[in-house]
Amino acid sequence: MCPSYTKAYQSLSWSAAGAFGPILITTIRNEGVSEAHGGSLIHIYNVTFYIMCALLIVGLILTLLIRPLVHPDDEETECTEHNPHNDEGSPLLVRSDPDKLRHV
Amino acid sequence: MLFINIAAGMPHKCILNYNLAEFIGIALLSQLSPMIQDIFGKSPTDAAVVVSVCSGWNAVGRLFWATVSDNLGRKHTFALFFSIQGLIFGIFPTLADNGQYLPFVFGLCIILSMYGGGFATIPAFLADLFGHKNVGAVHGVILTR
Repeated sequence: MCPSYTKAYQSLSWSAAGAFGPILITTIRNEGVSEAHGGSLIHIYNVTFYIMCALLIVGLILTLLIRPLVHPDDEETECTEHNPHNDEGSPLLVRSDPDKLRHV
Repeated sequence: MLFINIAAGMPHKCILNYNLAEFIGIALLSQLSPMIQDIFGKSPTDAAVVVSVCSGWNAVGRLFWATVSDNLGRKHTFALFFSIQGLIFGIFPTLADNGQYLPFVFGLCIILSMYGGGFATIPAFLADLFGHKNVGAVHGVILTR
């Protein structure tokens, strides 16, 4: 399911985190250094820290929004037993036709 | 990056999540040594020691957080990652202002242990979300981010 699902977007964000993060942070640092004019460098990372804090809050919200995929056949007989590995208590998905999986 | 993934729909939330978690860690690692030197006026040697210590925490975090996620649930573990990391980044400017070197380094260690923990937990998280048969493909896609 996932390769076809993400194919269109895969090339757009190739290694985005690995490349974009250090570039952003380095840019901010260099600007801070040039603005400090040889003075104190203590505060040049504050913007970086707040940006990361904001990104982490976005990440937290997205984490809380995540739901497992559910197969249509499983909806009637949803497993209610608590499974600590599966926060929503839905059946584990080992399916031969995963294209039918969808979000609830 | 953010908008692309959000537009792509629900399953991308977890890709984006992973993106964010590792984005933070990689960005921090790349600037760790100059950061220590600039904020606390340490020598490059001291900064290198901090980087080594943080790498050790990264390794230990992989074992520790993967174990935690077994008991706590993957989603809750990731929520914990984001909350604690956000909190630590929130107090970093204050620590830098006050010149509190050791608390700052300890915060860095915690953040990098969670960076490693994210790497270690994501395959199990994907197995729970997409099913065991799909983990190979999904994890491959996610690692390219």
